Amino acid sequence: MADGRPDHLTWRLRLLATIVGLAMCALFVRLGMIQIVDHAKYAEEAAVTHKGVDTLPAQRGAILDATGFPLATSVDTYDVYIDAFLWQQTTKAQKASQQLADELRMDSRALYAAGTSRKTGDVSVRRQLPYEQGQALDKKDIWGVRLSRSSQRIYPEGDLAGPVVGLVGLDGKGLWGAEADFDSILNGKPGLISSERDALGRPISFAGRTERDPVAGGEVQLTIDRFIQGIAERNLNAAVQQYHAKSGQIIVMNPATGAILAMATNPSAGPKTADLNDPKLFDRVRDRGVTDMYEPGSVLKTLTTAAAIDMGKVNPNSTYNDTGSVTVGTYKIMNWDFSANGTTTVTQFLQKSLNTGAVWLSSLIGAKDFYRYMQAFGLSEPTHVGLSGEAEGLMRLPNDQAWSVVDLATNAYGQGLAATPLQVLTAVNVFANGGKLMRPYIVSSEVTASGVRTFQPVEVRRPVSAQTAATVGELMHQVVDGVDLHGAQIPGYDVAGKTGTTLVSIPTGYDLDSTIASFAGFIPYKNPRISVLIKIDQPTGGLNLGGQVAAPVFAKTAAEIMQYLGVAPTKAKTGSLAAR
Amino acid sequence: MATLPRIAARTPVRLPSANHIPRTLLAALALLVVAAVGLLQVMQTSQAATAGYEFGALETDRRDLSAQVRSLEAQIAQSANEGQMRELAMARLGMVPATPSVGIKVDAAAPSRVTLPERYVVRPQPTPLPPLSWWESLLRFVPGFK
Repeated sequence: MADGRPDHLTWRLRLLATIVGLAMCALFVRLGMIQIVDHAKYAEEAAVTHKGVDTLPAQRGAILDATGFPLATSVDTYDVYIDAFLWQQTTKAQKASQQLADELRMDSRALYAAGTSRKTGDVSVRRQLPYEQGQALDKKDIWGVRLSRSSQRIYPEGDLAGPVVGLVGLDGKGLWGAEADFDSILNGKPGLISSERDALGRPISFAGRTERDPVAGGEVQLTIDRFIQGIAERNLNAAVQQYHAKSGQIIVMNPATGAILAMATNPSAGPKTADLNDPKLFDRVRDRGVTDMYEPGSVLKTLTTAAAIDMGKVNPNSTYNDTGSVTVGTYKIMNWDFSANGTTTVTQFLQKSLNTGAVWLSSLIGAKDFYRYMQAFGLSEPTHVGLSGEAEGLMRLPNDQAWSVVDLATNAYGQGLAATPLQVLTAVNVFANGGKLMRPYIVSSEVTASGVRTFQPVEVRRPVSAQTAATVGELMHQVVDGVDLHGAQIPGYDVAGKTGTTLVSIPTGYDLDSTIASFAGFIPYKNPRISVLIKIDQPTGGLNLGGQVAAPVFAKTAAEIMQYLGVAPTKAKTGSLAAR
Repeated sequence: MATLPRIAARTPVRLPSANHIPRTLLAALALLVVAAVGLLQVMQTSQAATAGYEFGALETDRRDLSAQVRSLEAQIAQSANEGQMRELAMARLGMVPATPSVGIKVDAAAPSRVTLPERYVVRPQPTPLPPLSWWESLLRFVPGFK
């Protein structure tokens, strides 16, 4: 050791080397933990910190009526936000609040107060700013003001068909009606923009950026015709007002296909009048035509008659002796007007709507076959129209414990069972289209990115033969046009139909002072273009029978629809002379 | 024997062989290639950036135009609102709802008896005739006019 240095490592150097070595090992272990073991976790944290994801809203699809007119559509808008962090610079914020106030026509002090109420994050100051206005604001490039694309739902027809079309909430989801029932189709797939951001969360220019375009929602075309819907709603509202009724429904269908052309409800609410804070809103926005059940009353006598004719038990000229009442078990059933008509044909029984005749027919048919026919007509089963909340109806069957022979008698004239207005009209349609029970439908097509889906009419079954259907159709024609001054008559047109009047059921039985007046019919009788069901609930203006209340509404509504559809009169016009 | 004069030995000119390219030339060529590739890269990147920018601008234009189309469609639909059209037709143009024309031929007496109970028969209310206008009144004085 010439220079005095030892030729071996001293203990100090060994110690230092050991410490450095251990430290290096620790570093390598930690590096391995971070880079290999916990890689996914840290990669995610880094991504969250450095990458921001913006959602691009997808255009919600339109709801069209049968003519292609939009009942609901969407337009592009902007939502305006203030970046609270940037607005901590008071001088710039004050200037920006003034500029923003000028653009939005808002109070600058309120804007400044809102924008500086927090230290970080975005403060929403305006939702659904019109697109052109948003673009103009964007070009101003106001300090600390951000715009985000959004959309606004527009209902060009206002409250028309409100319960059917529905409404969209602030979150862009359908709340009721078609907006809710077909939400998955109408809602598109939102797009995403993933970009690297700086410490303030602002996108870094020319940095990594991935973008996925939004996919627009599909369009749903309804079978509803806005003009027919308008006619139905105007006449329903007028009738409810005229007869001081509690509520009412009108359904208009194409009996050949089952397409629903109009479904009017009173009371109802739509985009203009719906108050989302109203606890009773559900009463005004549900499709009562499919959700609410009622006892159809004498309209159901047509089904009873059809069953008896189809079984060959009677024909239109078969007779029975109407003594004004009939005793079933311990119950005495009487005619609605307490009349006794003696020898009465099937045609007369329907024209006069005699309860005793229905009981007579039900005794000929028998319980087993009667309910078999009623089920074939679609009673007590949902129609599968495609609207939510559909009721399936109530009907006791002979094998139910609560059933008694009186049920058969009362069911024969439409009491003691319940059905929705849509079920009743669907069943009556059987007599307008050769004995076919058509499934009602309200959506004619769906247009999505994956293609066009068109709905075709569906024949569910044939409850009665074509001959029976024609015979009952003729009987219904005689009910209207065979009776002088029947309220459902329409000058120039052959009408077939049947009135119905039923007492309102209450928990203790029936309310003898309240009725449901209804009428179901189709027109023109020989080649029906439309079938209509009118139902007026609890009229209180003095008139309360189907023939008094519902039949005239049918005549007015159907006449207007015939005019709109351009259907030529089917017979020479008759009526009262109004000459000058 | 005559001898040819011996050619003075000269240093042969060494032509560059294929296997022996001067390093400077190689370096120059390499630099040229690198520069060309770099230039190509820059040009491509520049063109791609320009195209991307133009594409982005066109995409923005497309979105704006689509938004305007949707907005205009909504405006048209709102203008064609059935209720509004009805109101305009009646209030501004003085139109009235069409009523079906009724041709009447009465060649028989009214039925003496109706089959529905009297109290339930809905009888049409007689419509009062509107008063004749002044010029219609004058027409009554014209011979042959009724």
